[in-house]
Amino acid sequence: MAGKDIKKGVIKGILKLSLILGCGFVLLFLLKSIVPGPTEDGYRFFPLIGSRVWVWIIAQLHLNFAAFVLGVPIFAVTMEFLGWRRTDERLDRIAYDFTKLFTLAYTLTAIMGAILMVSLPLLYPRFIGHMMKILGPTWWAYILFMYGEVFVCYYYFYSWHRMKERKGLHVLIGVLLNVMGGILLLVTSSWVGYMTTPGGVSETGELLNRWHAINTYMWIPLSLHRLFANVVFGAGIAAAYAAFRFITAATEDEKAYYDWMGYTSAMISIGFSLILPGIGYLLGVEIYSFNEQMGIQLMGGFYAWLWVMQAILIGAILFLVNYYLWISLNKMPGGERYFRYVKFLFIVVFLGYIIWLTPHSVALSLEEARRIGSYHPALGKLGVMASKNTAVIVSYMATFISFAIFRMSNKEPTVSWARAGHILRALIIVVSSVVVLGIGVYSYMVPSVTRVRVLSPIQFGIFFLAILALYILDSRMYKNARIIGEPRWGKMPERSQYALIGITVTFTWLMGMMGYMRSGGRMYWHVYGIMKDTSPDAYLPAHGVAAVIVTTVTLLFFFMIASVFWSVMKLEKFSEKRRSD
Amino acid sequence: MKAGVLKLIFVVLAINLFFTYIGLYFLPQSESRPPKEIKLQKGITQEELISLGEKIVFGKGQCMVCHPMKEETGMRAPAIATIGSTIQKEAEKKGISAEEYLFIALVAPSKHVAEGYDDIMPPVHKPPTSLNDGELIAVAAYLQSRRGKVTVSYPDSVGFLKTVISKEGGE
Amino acid sequence: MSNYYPVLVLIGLLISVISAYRKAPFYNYIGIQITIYGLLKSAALIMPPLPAQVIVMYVAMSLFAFLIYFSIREETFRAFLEPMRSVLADRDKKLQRVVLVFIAIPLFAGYITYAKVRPSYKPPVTGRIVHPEPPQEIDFRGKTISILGLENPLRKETDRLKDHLEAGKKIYYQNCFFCHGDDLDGRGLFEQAFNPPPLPFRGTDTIAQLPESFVFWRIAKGWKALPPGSHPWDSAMPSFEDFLTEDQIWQVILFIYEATGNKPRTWE
Repeated sequence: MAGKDIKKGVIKGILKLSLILGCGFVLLFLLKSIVPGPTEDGYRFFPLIGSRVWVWIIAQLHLNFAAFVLGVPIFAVTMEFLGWRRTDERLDRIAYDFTKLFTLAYTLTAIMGAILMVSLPLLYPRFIGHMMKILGPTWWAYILFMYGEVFVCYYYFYSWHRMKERKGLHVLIGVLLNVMGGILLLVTSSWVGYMTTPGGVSETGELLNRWHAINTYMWIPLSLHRLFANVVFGAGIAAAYAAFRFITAATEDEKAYYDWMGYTSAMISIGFSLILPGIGYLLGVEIYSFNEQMGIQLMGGFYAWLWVMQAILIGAILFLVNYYLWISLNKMPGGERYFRYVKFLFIVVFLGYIIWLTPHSVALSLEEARRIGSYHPALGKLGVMASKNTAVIVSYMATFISFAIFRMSNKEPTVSWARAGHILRALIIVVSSVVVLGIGVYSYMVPSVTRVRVLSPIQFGIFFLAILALYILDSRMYKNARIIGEPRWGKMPERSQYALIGITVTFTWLMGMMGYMRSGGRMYWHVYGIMKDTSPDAYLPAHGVAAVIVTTVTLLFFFMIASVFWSVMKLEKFSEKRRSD
Repeated sequence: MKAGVLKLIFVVLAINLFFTYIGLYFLPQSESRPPKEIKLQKGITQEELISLGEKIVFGKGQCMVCHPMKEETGMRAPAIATIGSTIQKEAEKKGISAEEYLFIALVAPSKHVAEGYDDIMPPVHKPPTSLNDGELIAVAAYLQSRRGKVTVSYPDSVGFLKTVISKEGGE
Repeated sequence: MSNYYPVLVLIGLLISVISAYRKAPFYNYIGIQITIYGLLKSAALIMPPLPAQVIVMYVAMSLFAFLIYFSIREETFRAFLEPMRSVLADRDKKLQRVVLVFIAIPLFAGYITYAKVRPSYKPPVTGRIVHPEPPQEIDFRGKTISILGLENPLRKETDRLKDHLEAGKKIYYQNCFFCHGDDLDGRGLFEQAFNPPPLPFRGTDTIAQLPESFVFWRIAKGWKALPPGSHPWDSAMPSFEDFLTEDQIWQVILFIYEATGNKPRTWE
């Protein structure tokens, strides 16, 4: 009967996708004949909120869901693989839970995509016409791969229990699912890449070389950035799910499991987020080499203040992660020994955050301008990149130490060189921090080119070397360590779970804002330098307006993802009932 | 459990409201409107041409993204305040007229990269900046007025500008 | 006023230390916040005061961060919440409860509302370019003077320099010192009447940063010639071309540089 289940599940998935797509096409066709024709320069207007805001919200929602369903399979399959090799039931269960989540989220992803598919050609016929002319074939390939993805995904999910004996093959299907996801990501990134850094077309927008139009400056860096950000985001949502289940859990067993799931997901999320600044840097370099003007516009022009906002958001994420880890010490037998270090870590993270959000220029009242002048000596020194890079590296270091402390807090090393090991660890921490700080101070005295191209990479390099060294040291030192007691999973105060949710909400907000900045980098162009936006929406809104829209998107997204969580719980109850019958 | 879920909703709402508050009341609020195309009138005076050029340099042309007003350390491109005399000197070195040098510098900047700087400037008569002939001449007039002698005028220089564009800026 | 802020720091520290000793994290929290606010405010004693916006940001940050800090350990957090819980729930704290809920909180809300809607006469804030580009050339009583590369012609007359300085001194004390001060420090009789205040000539950041040609233009043309970006309406400088001759202006320029020991800036 299980074989029938798989077949039924897959057919259901394919039918659902076809139905949504079919409805989309029919709706598009119907609406096109009903609504009045576009304006002379090729626009229709969405009632009330305007075309731009509508497309903005729908596209961002679609992207959020897509990021989730593309990001989660990456570590779900990894978990399944690990669980299989180590024959760990718990890892297999968490992998299955992740899979349940993204399989259910597919429907919403497809619905949002279909709404976008109907909206864009209706509201921006001239622009979509151009995109179809240049990149049309990739769109049909996209639909093809989408069917492939849905097929593999549903097969992967419904065959989970049936293929328990053939785990290797099942993991392979999971890998195939990720390959499909990767291709989908590449295709969509190529569209955005073309809009922002176009290539392969003449100045008037005639197609010269389709491959060049796909393989633009932004394509690969953007895809990489999205790939890793998807993992970070997907894991974040999984952590939020675990937190939600923890809060609503009825039994101690459930509490323990979801506590562990939340911890694992949050650590995956933060671990992968370490790589993001590096890839973001790469993306920035590509934008600069495509067009210096656009690069500066994005980094320091109209958007300068949104980078301060970004600092506030990332700082909040780091702070909440540390908070979560510190609270976690409560549940570790022997964890209380480490609370005295938390005080110092707190001070470091606090000062780092303060420095990071100190703005370089501030709005002064007239009274203040009279007394201070336009430049404040202390703030001016804290508000520049030199101090901010240093502050963020030191904060990341503190976060890693919090993580390391948590992991070793219930253990006692048994190796003979334990004392020397402790001293070595302290040395690594102190020396690397002092060197990073020293370089930070030194970078005030060199031209900015040296700072950006030489000193900052060295700082990041030292940071990565230091955490690598700490990791190796700890794993050697705590081999066969005496375990004081197993972690009391589930014995977590509820507020730690709100910290997890807070991290995810902040992440979603950050993603919405950065997406807006990426899109706004084109200024008043549909396709930068090729096709001008002549609609009434062709301006960049004030930051406050953007903030309201990003908040709207975030709230809508959480409302929808909550409905996914809710249906997962319904499903579980249903299958439990059937089992007991 | 119900209380937990309510608290959870409260946390999500509170965080979002907090960020919105920062966005609305902490960040400066201004919009960035797309620039309008300027059509010059025949027989425009030199002062008008220069002040128009100044507006374009500071606004639509986005020159200030790279060019600083005054000499400073670590600048990415020559300073505007003294650029008129720089142009005259460089043109003399190359043995062409200041006007020709200036037009080439605008429509085919890679041809004359000032010493000590990277070749980063895009041709400004092409998208995304897309200045029209009149705007180019206004910019040229303003740049010459920075410590140099203003030799361009509208519409007399249009013909020469067009030849320079067809010779150098076509690519 | 700012002299009293260090006292605030001490009070805050005292509260914090005592309550840390008596294991009362809630009052410790309050003490820490007072200390931090006091420290931010007393920064004005050793450097220019921190802008209000930055102080708000830092205080908000520390409110948030220390709340997090005191909620890490279960016992600490329970002790932290205890005063709030007892005021709101204990039977014998009815009086405090009534005072808090029906008097203190409404008063606080009322004050916030009052502070928000209270009319204020402060002008809006806008950036002002202090040293605009001078024009190429100006019209000085019908004579065209090119400002670019212009140098003080009187400096060449080395034999008569002393006379020029003496004349310049007289002109200064007949025309300029009302605002710019008898010590050339910008603290003349009318200083308090103007906003922004008259520029001092002493120090290294005003005329020492400017070529004499710029100073000549500012004296001759006054506020009227400032471009909009420099807010001509924020300047009370008269156009002295109506009162002084070209040579007299150059003489007074010689004097203000000489008397303050500054050298005019040269371009190359």
